[in-house]
Amino acid sequence: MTEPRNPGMSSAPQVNPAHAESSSPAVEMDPVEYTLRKRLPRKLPKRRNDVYVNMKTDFRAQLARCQKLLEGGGHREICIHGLGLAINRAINIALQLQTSSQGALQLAANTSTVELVDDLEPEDPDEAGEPMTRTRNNSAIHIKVFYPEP
Amino acid sequence: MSAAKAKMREKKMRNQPASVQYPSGVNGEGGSQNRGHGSGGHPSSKERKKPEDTGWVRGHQRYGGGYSKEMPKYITGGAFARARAAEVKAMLRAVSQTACSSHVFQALPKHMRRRAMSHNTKRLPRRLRDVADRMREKSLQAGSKKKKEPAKSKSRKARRRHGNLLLDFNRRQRKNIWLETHIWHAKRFHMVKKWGYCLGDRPTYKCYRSCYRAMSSHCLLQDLSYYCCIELKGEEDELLAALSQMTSKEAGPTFAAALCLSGRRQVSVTIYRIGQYPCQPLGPVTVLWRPKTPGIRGRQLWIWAHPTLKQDLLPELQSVCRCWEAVPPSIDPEVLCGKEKSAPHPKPENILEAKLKPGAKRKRSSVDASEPPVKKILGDGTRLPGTTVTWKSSSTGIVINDLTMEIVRYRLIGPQSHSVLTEALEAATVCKEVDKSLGSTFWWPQHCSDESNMLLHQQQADVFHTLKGISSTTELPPGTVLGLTVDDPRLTLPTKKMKVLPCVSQAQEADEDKRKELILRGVPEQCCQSSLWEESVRDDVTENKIPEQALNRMKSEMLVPGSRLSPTPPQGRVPVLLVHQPGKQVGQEMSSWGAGWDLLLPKGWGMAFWIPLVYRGVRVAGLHMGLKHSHSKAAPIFPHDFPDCPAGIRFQEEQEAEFLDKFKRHPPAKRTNYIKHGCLAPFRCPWQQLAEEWEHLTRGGGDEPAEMSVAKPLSLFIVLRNRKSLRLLSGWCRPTTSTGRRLNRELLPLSQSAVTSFLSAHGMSLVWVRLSLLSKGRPELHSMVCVPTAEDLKLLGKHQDLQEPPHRDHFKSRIKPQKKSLKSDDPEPRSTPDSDLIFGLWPDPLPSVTSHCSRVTLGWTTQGDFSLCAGHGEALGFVSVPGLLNTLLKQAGEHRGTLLLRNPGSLHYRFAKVNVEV
Amino acid sequence: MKGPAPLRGLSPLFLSLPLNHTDTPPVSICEAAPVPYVSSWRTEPTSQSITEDELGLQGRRPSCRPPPQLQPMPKREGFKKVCRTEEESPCPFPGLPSGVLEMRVKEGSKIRNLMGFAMARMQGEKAGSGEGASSAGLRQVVFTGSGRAVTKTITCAEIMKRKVGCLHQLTKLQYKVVKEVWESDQGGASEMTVHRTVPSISILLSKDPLDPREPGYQPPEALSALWEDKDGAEPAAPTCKRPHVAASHSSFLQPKRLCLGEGVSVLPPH
Repeated sequence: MTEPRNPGMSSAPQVNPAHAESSSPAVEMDPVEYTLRKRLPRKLPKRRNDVYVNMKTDFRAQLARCQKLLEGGGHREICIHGLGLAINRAINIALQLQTSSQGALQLAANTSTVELVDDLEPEDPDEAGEPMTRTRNNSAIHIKVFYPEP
Repeated sequence: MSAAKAKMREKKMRNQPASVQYPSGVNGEGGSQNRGHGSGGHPSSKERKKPEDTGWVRGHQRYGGGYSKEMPKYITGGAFARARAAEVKAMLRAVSQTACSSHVFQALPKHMRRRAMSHNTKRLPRRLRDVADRMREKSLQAGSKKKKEPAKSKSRKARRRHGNLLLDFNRRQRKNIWLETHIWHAKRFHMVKKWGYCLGDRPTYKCYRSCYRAMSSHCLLQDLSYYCCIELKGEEDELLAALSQMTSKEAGPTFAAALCLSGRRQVSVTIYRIGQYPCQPLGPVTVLWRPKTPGIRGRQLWIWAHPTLKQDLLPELQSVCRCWEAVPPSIDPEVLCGKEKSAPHPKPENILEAKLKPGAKRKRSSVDASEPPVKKILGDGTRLPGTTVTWKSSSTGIVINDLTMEIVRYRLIGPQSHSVLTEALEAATVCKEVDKSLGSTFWWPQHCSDESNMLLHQQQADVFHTLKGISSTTELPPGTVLGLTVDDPRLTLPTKKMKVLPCVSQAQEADEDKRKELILRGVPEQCCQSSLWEESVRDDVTENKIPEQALNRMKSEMLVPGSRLSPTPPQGRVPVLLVHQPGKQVGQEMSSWGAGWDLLLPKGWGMAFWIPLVYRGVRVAGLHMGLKHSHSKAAPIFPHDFPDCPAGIRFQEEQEAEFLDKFKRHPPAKRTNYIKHGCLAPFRCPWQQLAEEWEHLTRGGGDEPAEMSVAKPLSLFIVLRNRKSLRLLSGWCRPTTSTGRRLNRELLPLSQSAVTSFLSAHGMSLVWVRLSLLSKGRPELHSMVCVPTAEDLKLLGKHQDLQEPPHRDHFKSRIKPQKKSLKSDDPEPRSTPDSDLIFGLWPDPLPSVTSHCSRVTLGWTTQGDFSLCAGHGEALGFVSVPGLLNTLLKQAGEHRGTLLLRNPGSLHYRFAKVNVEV
Repeated sequence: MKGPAPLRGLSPLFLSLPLNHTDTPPVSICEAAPVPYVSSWRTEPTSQSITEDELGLQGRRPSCRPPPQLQPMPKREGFKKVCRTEEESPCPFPGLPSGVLEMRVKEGSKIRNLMGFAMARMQGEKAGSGEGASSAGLRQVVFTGSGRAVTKTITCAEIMKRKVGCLHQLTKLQYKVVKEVWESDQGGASEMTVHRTVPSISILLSKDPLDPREPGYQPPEALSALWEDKDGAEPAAPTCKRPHVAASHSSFLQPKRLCLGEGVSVLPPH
C-alpha cells in the first residue's frame, strides 16, 4: 500500500477515545522541532487472491496481475485492496476488469478505516523528551471482484 | 633441529649444482664440495653460518658480504687449478641438468611444442629425449618418495575423538576468535578471517535470492557476536558529562536522548574524538542503557561497537572517563573461563559428572588421572588469561568493562522475526514452591523468591505474548527493548524443521488493546529490565548450562518419547534481551524495510538458541548478506563507508592492497586497463584530493585562492553528518516539479547565496548519497559519480537506455608505452619506476581527479549492486558537497539531482538520481 | 495538482443537495438547509486531469486530440476548457426513494463543511432552525464522488459511520462519463467535446437494514470481517445508539418510514 498522501486525510478527526491520549498533541506540534516518520500500515492477511494496490507499481502490471488471477489463476473471486491515494487506482482496476469481462464480473466494494501510526522524533533529542507517536486514520477500499454464482 | 634443517636443505639443493668453495686453509684439497650429493660430513648449519671470508665463494653470500675485499697475495697453482676444474665441472653439470621446476620442452620455442610432450617423450625432438627421460624418471621417483614422507598425524578416528578434537579446536582458536556457532558455520559457510575473528561470509549453497526473500518477507538470521560490547558503570551525571564530549546533538541522537536514557530504546550514535565534533569521527556505535534499577544507584550502559572500532574507542573512552586504573581480573571465574583448561567449578560438579558418564571409558580414565578435562573455550580464546578487561577511575567512579565475547548477539532481520522469536522462545516457567524453599544455588529460584521480580517477569511475559499477535516487526516503535527470561529453548525444539507463520487471527478485544498499546507506546519501562545485565547471573547461567548430552539423556529417559521435559530443570532459565532493530529509517521509499530483532544472550548459550531458531525456518546469512542488508537500507556499513574514521582508513588500505594483489595476479594483457578507461583510482578513492580540488574549484573564481590554501592547507575532509544541513541538502536534491515537496520545512530555496553560505560551513565535506539508476546497469564498487553536461540531459528525455557519451581516455595509452620505452632504454632507473608502475594503473601522483574525464567527477561509490528490492541498480557513496551544490545550481528544475554513474571498468555512463536521505 | 481554482476559495461549501438526475427536489430539506444551494454541476477547476490509470480505457473518447491527460494547464495546445458536464448516469441504487440526502463530494470540498451539514441532517436534533428541525434526522444518506474526490467520499462515509454508528452501508462503483467542451484560444470558432470516463463511487448509508445479498453491502461495525469470507448475513437488529428516535417526531418521520420500507427491498441491478 502506498503512503497516504491525501491532504484530506490529515484532517480526519481522531475519534477513537481509547487512543486519544496516545495521539498526543498533534496540533501544537512545531514542525521544525520534530521529524515525522510514518510507519507502515498494519499488515493485513494475504491470501493468494488478495491484491494490494499501490502507487509505485505500473498500473498495467497490476491490472494484468488481477486478470491473470481471474483467468489463469482459476480464482472465482479476487479482492482488491487500496489505501489512501491508491483507492482511485483500485477502483479503476476493478472497473476495468468488469468492463473487459463484458459484465461477467461483479463488484462488491467495502470501505474501511485504517489506523496509521506516525512517529514524531524530536530534532533535539535531549530536552524535547520523548518521541511522540500519534495515530491517524485513512480510508481504504476493498473490492471483491467475482463471477456471480449462476 | 639442525638435522631437520639439514634435511630441508638437502631437499632443496638436490638438483642444484654445487656451490663451489675453495677453503684455503684447513682442508685445502677439498676444493669443491658437493653439498647436495655430498655423502660426506653433513654441512651443518653451523658450518654454513661461519663466515668464510678466506675462501673462494661462489655466489653472493650473506656473511662474507660478497667477495672478500683484499686480494690474496699469492696463489697456489695446483689448488687454484683444482678449484677451476671444480668450477667448470659444476658449470657443466648446471648446463646439462635442468632445474626441476622447468620442463624440458620449455627449451623449445613455442611453435615447436606439442600436446602431451611431458607424457610422451617421443614427441620431443630427439636431442632432448634423453634429458626428458631422465627428468621423468626422477620426478616419478621423487613423487613416490614424497608420498611416503608425511603421514605421521594420528588416525582420523583418533583425531575425531571428542577430547582431541576439542584440544585441536582450542588450539586453532588461539589466533582468531571463534564464535560459538563457528562449527555450525564452518560446515556450511565460506569462512573468512576478519578483524581477528573467523566469520562466515556466505553459504556454500546458492541462496542469494532466497536470503533476500527471507529478509523482505520472512526472517534472516545472522550471528553478530563479533560485535564488541563495552560496559560503562557509574553515576548518570558523570557518565553523561564524560560521554557528551564525544557526541554532538547536531549529528543525531546522543547518549542522553530521553528514551534511550530511560532504557526503553536503543539508539545509534556517532562517536567523535573528545571535543572534536565535526572532525575526527571514530565511528558509529549503538547504545543501550540499563533501566534504573531500584537497588543500585549508578547506571549501567552498554556500547556496542564493531571490532575494528574497539581499538580506537576503548582508549578514547578511558581517557574521557579518566579510567586508567586497571583492575586486575581477580574474579576467579573470569580467569578460569579465560584459560582454556580451567578446573571445573565446585558447583557444577554433578553436571560434569553427568557429562562424562556416558562417555567412553578412556575419557573417564583421563579424568581419574587427575588431569583437568579439556574445556571448551567460551568467549575470547585469543586473550591471555591475565589481560585486563576492567578499568576504573578513582576520580569519577566510572568503571569500564570490556565485555567482548561475553554476550552473544544474534540478529534476526525480516518482518516475521518476531514470530520466529515468539515461537522459539518461551517465557520462563516460574519455579515451584518446593524449589524455592530448597534454596537452590541456581539464580532462577533465588530470583523467583522475590515477589517483585515475579511480577516483573509476568509483565514481561505478557508483553512477549502480545508480540505474537503483531503482524509485522515494522509495526513496533523502532529500537524497542524487551527484557525477558526464557526457558531453555532446546526443550521445545521441534522434531522437524518448520516454517513459522504469523498468527494474526487473534481478534480478542483485550489482546487487541494490548497490541495497540504496544504499537503506540512500546514496551513499558520496567519491562526493559533484564537479569542479563548482572554479571553474576550471566556467569551463573553460563556455568550451569546443561550440556547437550545430558539434556539428550534426560529426554531419552522420558516416559513418553518426544514430549516436553516436564519439570524444567532448575538451571534451564536464561535471561535474554530483545532489541528491536529499526529498518530503513531514511528517505521515503521502502521505509522500515529490513527491520528485525536482536537477541542478546549470555555466553555459552549460543548454540542452544541457534539451533532452535534455525529449526523455525529462518535463513542464515553471513557477512555478505549483511552487506546487502545495509545496502538495501541505504545505510553506511561501518568500516567500509566511513573513510574519515581511522578504522575506515585502515580498511581502505587493506582493501586496496587486496584488490591490487588480485589485479597483479592477472597477466598484463588480461588486466583491465584502467588508464584507458579514464579511471584514476579503481581500488581506492582519493577522498582527500577530491575534497581539496572541489574546494579549490569553488573558490577559484573569487577571492584570494593563495591565501585560502595557506589558511587551511591541511584540513582533512569530513563527512557531513549535521542533520540540519543534510536535511537542507536533501531538499535541494529533489526535482522541483514534483509536488512531494516538503511543506515549509525547506527554509531557503536553492540559490547562489544559500549555497555560498552553506559552503562556508561545509567546504571540505563529503556527503553520503544514494544513487538509483534510472535505466539499466549495475553499479560496482568505486564507480565514478559524474556531472552530466547539458547535452547529456537532453538525451535523458529521448531514450534512456542507450546513453553512451563519448570518452577521450586514449591519451593515457600514450603515456604507458612512453614509460615502457623509457624503461627499456636505460636500465638504471629501472628499479625505481618499476616498483610503482603497474600496467593499467595510474602511477601515484594522480592528476586532477575531478576534471580527468569528459564529465566532471563528483565522487565515488562505495557500495553498488543491483538492488532486488528497488528493482534496479543502486549505489551508495560519497560526493563532494561543493561539487554537488554547484551541479544542482546549474540543473534545471525537473532534471535536478540527475547525475551520471560510470563503473571503473566501463565506458558507459548511466543516468542516476541522487538522493540525500536524512 | 493545484490548478487555478477560481471557485474554490469562494464558496465554502461544495455540496449539492439532492439534485438527483431526476428532478425530485428535496422535500423541505433544501429550505431548511443553512447552506447555500449550489447548482448541480459546476466547472470543476482541477478535475479534468485524470490519473494515468484511466488512459487505458479511453474507448469512448472521440478521436479529436484529447488534451486532458496532461496536466491542468488551460493554455495548453491553445485549448481552454470551457465547460464540464457530468453526464447523468443511472442511479446506482435503484429503488431508492426520492428525497434521500445526496452529498456530492467534489475534489475541493472541505470535509468539515460536508460533514457538518450531513451530520446535522442525519442526527437531526441539531439542525434546529428549520421546520424540519424536530425530526430525528434522515434515515439514509448517499455520498457520491468521482475522480479524485473518491477518496474524500470514502472518508466522509467512514467518518459518518463512525460518528453515527450502526449504519448499514452499500457501496457501488461505476464509471461516470464526463463531457468536456474545449475551445481554442485563438479563434473562438474551433471547439471540441471530449467524453471521458472517470470512476465514481456512491455510498449509501442507512440506519435501517439493507439487503445483505446485494454486492457491496457492509453490515455495521464489520471491521475485520473483510478478510474472512463474508458470510455476515446478519442485517441484524441495529442496536442503534440514537435514543432520539422518539415518538414525538413520528409525524414527520412517517413518509420516510415509508421510504424505508422500500429501502430495505433495494433490488439488485438487473
